[in-house]
Amino acid sequence: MSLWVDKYRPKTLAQLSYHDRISQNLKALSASGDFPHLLVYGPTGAGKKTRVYATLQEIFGSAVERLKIDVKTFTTSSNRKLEFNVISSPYHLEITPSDMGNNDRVVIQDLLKDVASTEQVDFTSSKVKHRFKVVVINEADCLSRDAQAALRRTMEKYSANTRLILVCNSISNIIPPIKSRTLLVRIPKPTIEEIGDILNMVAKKEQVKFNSNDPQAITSFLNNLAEKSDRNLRRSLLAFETISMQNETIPITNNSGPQLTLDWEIIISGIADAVLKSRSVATLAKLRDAYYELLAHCIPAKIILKTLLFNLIEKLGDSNVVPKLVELASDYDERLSLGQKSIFHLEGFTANAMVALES
Amino acid sequence: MKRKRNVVKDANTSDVSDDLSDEVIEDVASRPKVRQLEPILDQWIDKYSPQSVPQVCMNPQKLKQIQQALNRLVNGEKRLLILSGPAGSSKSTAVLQLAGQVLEGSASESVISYEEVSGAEGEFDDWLQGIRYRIGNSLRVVLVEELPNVFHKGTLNRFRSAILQWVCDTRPVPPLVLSLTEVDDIDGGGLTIDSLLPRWILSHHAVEWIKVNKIAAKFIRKSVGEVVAKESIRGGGLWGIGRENINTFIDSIIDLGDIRAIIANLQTWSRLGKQVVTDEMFRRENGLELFHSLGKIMYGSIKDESDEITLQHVLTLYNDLLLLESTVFENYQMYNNGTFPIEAAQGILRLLGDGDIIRMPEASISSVRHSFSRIPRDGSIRRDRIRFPRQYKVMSRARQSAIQISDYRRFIGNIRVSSCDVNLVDGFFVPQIYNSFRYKYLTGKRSKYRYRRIGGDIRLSGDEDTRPLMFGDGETQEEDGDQMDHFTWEIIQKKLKENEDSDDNEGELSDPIEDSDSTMEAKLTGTLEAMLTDDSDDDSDINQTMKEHNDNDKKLDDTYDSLLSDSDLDLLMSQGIIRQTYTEKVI
Repeated sequence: MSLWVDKYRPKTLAQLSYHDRISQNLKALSASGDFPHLLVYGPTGAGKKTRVYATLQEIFGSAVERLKIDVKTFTTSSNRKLEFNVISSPYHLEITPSDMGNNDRVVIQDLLKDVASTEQVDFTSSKVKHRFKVVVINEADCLSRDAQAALRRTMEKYSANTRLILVCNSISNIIPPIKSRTLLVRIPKPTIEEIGDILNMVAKKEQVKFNSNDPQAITSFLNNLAEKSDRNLRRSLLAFETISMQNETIPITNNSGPQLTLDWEIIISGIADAVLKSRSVATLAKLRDAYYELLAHCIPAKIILKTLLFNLIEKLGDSNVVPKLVELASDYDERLSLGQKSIFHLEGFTANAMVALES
Repeated sequence: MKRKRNVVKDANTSDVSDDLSDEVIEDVASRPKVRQLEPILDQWIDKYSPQSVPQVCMNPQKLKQIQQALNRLVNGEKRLLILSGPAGSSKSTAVLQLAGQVLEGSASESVISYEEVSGAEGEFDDWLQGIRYRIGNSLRVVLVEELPNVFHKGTLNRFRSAILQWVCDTRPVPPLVLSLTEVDDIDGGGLTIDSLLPRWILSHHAVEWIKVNKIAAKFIRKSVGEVVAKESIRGGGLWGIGRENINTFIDSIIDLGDIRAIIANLQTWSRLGKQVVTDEMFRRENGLELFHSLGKIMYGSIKDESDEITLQHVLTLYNDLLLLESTVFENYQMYNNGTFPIEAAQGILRLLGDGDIIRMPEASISSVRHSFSRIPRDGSIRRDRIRFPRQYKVMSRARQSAIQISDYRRFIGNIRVSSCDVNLVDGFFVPQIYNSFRYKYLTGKRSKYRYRRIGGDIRLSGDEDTRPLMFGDGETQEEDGDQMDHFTWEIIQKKLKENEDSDDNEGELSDPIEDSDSTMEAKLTGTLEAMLTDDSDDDSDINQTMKEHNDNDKKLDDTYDSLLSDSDLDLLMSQGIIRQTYTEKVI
């Protein structure tokens, strides 16, 4: 039995349940049989990848769901072997540049050249008339500037038989030439009610039992869950499945029920508490353990910084330090991009935040 | 192990410079070596090696401290004494002489020391097991100064578990002394107590740790004085050299604080045609040690006239500035025991961050020195221990996490979900779902082990100190089946299966998660144990840096050929499952 989040994932544009305007546009786009390079962006868990796949399905048919994974090796100039995964169907392939580290420029160029030089020939199906292959680049905001600059030339050079779909969370790291060469598609977070509806639908299909039969109470419980999950659909579904697996009947009392906070978020919330409670060098040193623990689990430093900032803001309420903190965080966000030892900058931000809170 | 760089390379001191390992160089004078048939006494360090406790060149207070510790070992209060310190600080000599005194026997007969013969992975365990019955009438002090090859991860784990068993054993054991010359250079493979033993062993109540410093000039002068007196007689090596010249020479090298090197150098010098040479040759350009450099950055140096000189000294003599920068970061809070204002810390962190951004550690190190010089010292005594930067350990853990996440995506989860989402969201919820009773009930799926958080549990490292509780009965983690993560198990299954179905390129995504048959299980047990050892090693030390991992990758190809004969191994190798374990064995 697959997870609900996979089981109820829409496979076609018609099945998509919210952002109808976007779905219509994508449908129109795919009906034309061709499309420009796309830059799909939006927060995590909003449904970017689902929409990308639904679009591909619309164009190429269900064959795009027949995925396989290849491990490709690439030998760098310093003779190191680099392994990365390439997911592919007969009509597209998908890569994640963060697998490639600092060599993303060479690897992507190489790969695209490879794709572009083999023309798409398909004798089996007369229906498919497209002569291009699609390359999906995930986490495009992690691409180095170098790689992005190289990509822009490649995009023009091979536009005859390749289409790129860049997927990313934020376009602030994408260089303007790329933005100008792509059609930007923004997928915003679904609203609480939209998530609530989906959860409700899943609850009915899975016959989830609640201790109350009042649809009003259930709806408000599910909406609450959606809100606590930061309006991230993926997270809401997983949290909902976790709750219903752990409770035979889900208790809803006072319009709320069991809630689940992610383990790493709890640690960051603890950091925020410590910063607000005791501002000293000793606290700084103690918090270093927490940062190290998070970094050791590949929690991206930028996400730590962002979550910490939001935690501080939430705990401070309406305070005039908040603008200062936001300014500091954005400064340190940039420092994280430029530097290598992220722990320096995380602790730096903490110290700065402490000083700002003292004054 | 890296050859000691500061040994004077001279033919006359060949016994010192030709030894390949640090630990062998350690206290050549006093080692109870069996393989030497006849003691060669023309080396002064052998000839004048201390024959009684008062002759040991060491601070008498420290000597007394070690003696008391030895007493506690003998009466069973403690089980392990760790002595750490720089080379030539009389650590082993002190143990040798004190053991003779405490056990009321001759020094050389009171001590058994470990000597590696075959270099096999379990050699140390076996030896330690054999030696544990040297109690009662045949009581001996067990001295470990030569270590097995702890740069090999498997050997290191065996070494640690052997020490752990020894410490936790309830039966009486002979006194065990671990004497280690610390080398803090990660590039050449550093070796410190912290990297050798995990913290919860070090903080165990039956373990005592004494740090020995460089020997102060006062005590060296005394010991060297005796040598000089004996050699100045007619026929002695120093005959005919003016006392003044001798003193000038000794003064020039006394800062080394290394009694062995000083005596050896004195002898060499005396042979150089008896001319007055106070040559640079004997004054070793001590590459500054890491923690020493740290001290200079945080506190400055009284000897130097200005900070500029101190800085110049550190920046030219210490070669790994990136490491030094991280060390400053890891320890800056110890200044005045952390009581300095947070604004100062903010400034220091800003400077360190700038240094990281412009990739110029020398800039940040210099400016940090200036920041510290502006904070008045409160004269308090440092409470915490200096820490080696944890950054490298964190990086290696992050790499392991990343591998597990990518394996999960590939073999168990949905490959379309980004690794970031898997880590941040799925990693937390999915194991909970799979572990829940209801899920198992609904799907009829039984899992052999519990599912653990993908990428490893996130917990604050404060938990580290509570871990000995798990090992209370001397049980090692490797034997504990519950530690196995069911995800890891499934991934191995899938990897094997994929190999069997290698003709069939499709379908691995839609493959249901299957229960394994028993033959597969048997085949895998060995591999699993190897993986467990690997996974459970939370305390993987700082030496396992990225460099080593890269080396492993490189060596894989060489290893591959030698394993081709065995089809099963080959199969696993090609999947990278047992790469590390086996590669290391071959190395």
